[in-house]
Amino acid sequence: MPVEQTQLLYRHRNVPGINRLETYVAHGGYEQFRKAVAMDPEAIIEEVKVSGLRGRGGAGFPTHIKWNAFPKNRDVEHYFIINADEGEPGTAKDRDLMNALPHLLVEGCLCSMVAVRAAKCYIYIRGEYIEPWKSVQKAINDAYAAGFLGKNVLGSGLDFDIYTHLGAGAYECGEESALMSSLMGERGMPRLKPPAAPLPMISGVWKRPSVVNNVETAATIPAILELGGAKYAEIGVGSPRSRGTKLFSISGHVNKPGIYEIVLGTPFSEVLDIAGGVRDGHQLKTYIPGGSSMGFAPPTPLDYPFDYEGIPQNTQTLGLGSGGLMIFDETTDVFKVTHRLVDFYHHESCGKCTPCREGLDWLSKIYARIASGGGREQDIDLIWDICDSIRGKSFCALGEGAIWPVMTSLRLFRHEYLSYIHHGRNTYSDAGQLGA
Amino acid sequence: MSTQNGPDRPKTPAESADVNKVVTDTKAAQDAGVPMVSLVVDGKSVSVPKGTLVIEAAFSAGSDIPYFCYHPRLTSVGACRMCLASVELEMFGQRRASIMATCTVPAADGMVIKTTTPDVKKAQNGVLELILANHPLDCPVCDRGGECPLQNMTISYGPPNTRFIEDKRRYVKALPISDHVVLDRERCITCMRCTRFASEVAGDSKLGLINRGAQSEVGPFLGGTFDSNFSGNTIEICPVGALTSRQFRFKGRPWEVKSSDSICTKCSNGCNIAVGHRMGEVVRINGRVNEDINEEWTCDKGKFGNADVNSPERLTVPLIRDAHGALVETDWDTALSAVVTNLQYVAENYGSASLAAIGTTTGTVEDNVLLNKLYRGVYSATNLAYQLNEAPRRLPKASIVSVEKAQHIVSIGMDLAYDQPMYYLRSVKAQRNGAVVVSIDSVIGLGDVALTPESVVLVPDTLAAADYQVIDSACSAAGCGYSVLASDANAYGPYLAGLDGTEAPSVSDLSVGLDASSKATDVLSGLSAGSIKHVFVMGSDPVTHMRDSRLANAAFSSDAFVVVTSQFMNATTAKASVVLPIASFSETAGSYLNVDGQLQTVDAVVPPKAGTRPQWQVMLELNARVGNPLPVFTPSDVLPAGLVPGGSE
Repeated sequence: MPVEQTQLLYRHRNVPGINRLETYVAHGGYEQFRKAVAMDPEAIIEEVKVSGLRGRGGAGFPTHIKWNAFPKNRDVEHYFIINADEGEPGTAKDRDLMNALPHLLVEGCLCSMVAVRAAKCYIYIRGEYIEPWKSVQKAINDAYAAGFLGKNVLGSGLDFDIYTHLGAGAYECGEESALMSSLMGERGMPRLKPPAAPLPMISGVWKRPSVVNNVETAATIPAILELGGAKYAEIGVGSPRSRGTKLFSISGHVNKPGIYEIVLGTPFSEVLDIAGGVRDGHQLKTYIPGGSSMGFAPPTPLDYPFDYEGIPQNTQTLGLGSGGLMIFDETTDVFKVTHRLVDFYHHESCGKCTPCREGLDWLSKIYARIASGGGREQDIDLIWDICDSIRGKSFCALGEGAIWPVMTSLRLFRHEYLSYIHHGRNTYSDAGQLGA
Repeated sequence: MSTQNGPDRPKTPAESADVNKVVTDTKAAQDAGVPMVSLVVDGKSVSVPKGTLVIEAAFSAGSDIPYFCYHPRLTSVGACRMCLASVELEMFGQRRASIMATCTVPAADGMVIKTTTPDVKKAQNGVLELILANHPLDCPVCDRGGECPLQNMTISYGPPNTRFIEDKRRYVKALPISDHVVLDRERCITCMRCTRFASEVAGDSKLGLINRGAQSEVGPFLGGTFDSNFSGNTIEICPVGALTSRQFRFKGRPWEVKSSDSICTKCSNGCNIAVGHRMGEVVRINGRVNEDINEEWTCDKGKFGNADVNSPERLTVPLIRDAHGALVETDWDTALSAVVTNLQYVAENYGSASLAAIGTTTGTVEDNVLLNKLYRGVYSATNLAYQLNEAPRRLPKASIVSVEKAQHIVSIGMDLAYDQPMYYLRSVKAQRNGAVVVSIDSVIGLGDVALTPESVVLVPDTLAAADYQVIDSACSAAGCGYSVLASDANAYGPYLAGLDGTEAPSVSDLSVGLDASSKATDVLSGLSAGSIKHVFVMGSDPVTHMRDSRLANAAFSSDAFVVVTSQFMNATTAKASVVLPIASFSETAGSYLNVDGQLQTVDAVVPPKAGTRPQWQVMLELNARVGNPLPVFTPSDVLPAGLVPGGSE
């Protein structure tokens, strides 16, 4: 009996014209905001707390803890910031959300702004996301026209403004503190975090209380308010700490790649079935459960709860991440995939700290050498050592994320590396069919 | 390869300065009553003021942690990751130890720090291997080699060999980015010390990071130049040889360069410097710590401008005007005899009222003392002046240090960064703390500035007398007063030397302000009127620097006998009867009173350039030749009693 896939965010995903205000309102849009604006901010935070909502951007940090850290007054301006700098390889859920359901995001932002007592919201959109940006900006414009944004909204006495801000194409700017630096016009480099610096909820952008939440996190808030936190918390069939639904971007060697809203804790095999299963005539070789930074998972076990706790426990990867599930069948040259990922992280390293800047530069050179047949057996230990010098020593999570695919691929597919080193090619896969 | 690390490892001067700074800061904070936190570093309990970083606490405990990007005068960035150590602390209710960058973590009660465990060593080794991966090991031809923190750390902490066999990053080497600084991007380890210096200390953000990741490089933006007046400091704080001095480039290895303490005399600030000299030649100037003046910085004028001591244009032979009216070279004996002959002739035939002297505001107090002994002491001359400007004679109300705490700073008629570099650096500090800094070109703009009793008004000493009246009335009305900042290295030295005729002059007189005139205009009027027949101009150039240049020109075109001491030819020496070539600041000992009244004494660093003599020795000899032999062996023998030099460590 497969798990019933409750659709919360995607309930009206396929309604034609749902990206238009009228259609959205006709399907119950902005009702939750009307409710929220009349609520006590603490009551909203309490609902979110009861719902067990965790950040959908990658780290899975409980949302209510962030929100509760805000000062409980409006003495200074608070900023609610949306991280729409979706750059994790394999992840495209925010793009779909912003393209198809921009008003859901706007409503989610509005509800969240009430909760954290913010009058200003910035949506930091990845520079390459021109279409989503247009879509969101149009939704914002329409919301102003409809009176959901502006001064004294719905007679509440509260002002709400949402601004969009396009990045300039740096993966690093999806990191919370780098995003805030970039938003302020500074170089997109991560900043010191507690205990070295105050929490952003105390001193964030322009030294004012700020919080950065993912697009999907904010878009989930209306659903939580509609159902009530307790009801939302009942959704989910896995760990008691993984509640609700989550958007997964399923790509790679499956029959029906796409974005799916999946109830957390659904067995991985069912998730695979939802995406149509591994493409016909092929078997699962490995997969990346939540965006490339999470690392490669072994093909077994398959029947485990696919959620925040289940993934790291059963696959020895970092975890659920941003929900970018990439499936690889037996034709995949894992060394080449890893090489591509290393090049990606090397290209995206901001250059602030030595381990990430130099370590990834070195790794990328070693991978290039091995790929071109110049590998040596000691390179494997060297790669492992470099990863060790980055792990836990880099300034932010970019370096940490970069080495997980490397370390997990070495752990699971060392023989493919050795094949390149000894034979100059991968004898375990037919690389020609990659992506075929 | 043997490695020596731990607290006793050999340190570069910069590293020692960093540790000293941390220890003194810790003590100062403790004395100021900052709450203390207790932690354990390598088994040793230590109490440090709240807010101290773990790396600093480790220094206080006598432990050693290697670092590159950390600098006690810059904000922490945690970029180089060299200062990794095991930090055990309680977070989210759990107590656990992890490897952290200690320059980013503030010390907290109950922390346990370990700097020497195998894990820590492995982590430090790993980071150093990564730093060295792309660093060209061109130490043998690098100016920094021998005093390079990276070289030092590699020998103390590093792996003895590299596993990096790929091609290193290549860039054009030795890229000049300003008149003074050369950039070698291959050597750069992106510690961001220079960029942080530019934005936080110099306040001009003239250097920044360009590109990202492994392609990150420092440089001036958009093809500009690094035209900051403080660019030279980045050379000193660079932990590798990425930024080097064009002036010092290939002039000597650091270990051949001897360093002697001195004071910069390029302006009135009196920055403490370390003069580097090799085989009797000054080759470079480094900053030296003085928390009351320059902290550890120098301006480019002081750092590079002092190279004029090696100029081929220095005067090295005395000059005398011959029968045809031309200045010709002569020897010291002839020149001094001519001065003495004329001095005695004028004194006997016209009386002491016909003698005059203009003291030096760039030389030492002692030079002026000996000048005073000759003209006032032997000949009872009273036409002694030293002030070429029209400014009120008073030490500034705002000291260099005090500007840092100001809330509203107004500078009038000067480019603070160039004219008063240390006041400028403190104003940047104040600005970072929220102060408003206003700079106006002339007193005309003063009406637009809202002065409050807390305003700090900084004024140069080169304005016209009328301007001071305008400023005075505006500032009196606001109740804030104003500070006249002298331009010359020893603006009030002549007063301390007694040139005014004051008995027992003291620095405290200067805080109150002086009334009696010591203006050179009186002497110049006497010269052009013909009542003064003999004038001794010590180390200054009135023809260039007097506001009333017509008067100055007329005065020195008269028939009077003009003796000028100088290092270079200038407008006044061109009109002199006798020109005496004198030693530079680095070649002479003596005392200077800086802009805010700190008396500092220095020794000569190198012997005088051949043919030149220190001014005090010239005066000593002239005294002896007119029958006033003085028992003086060093300048300090004539330093007036009651003047206690300080500041210079």
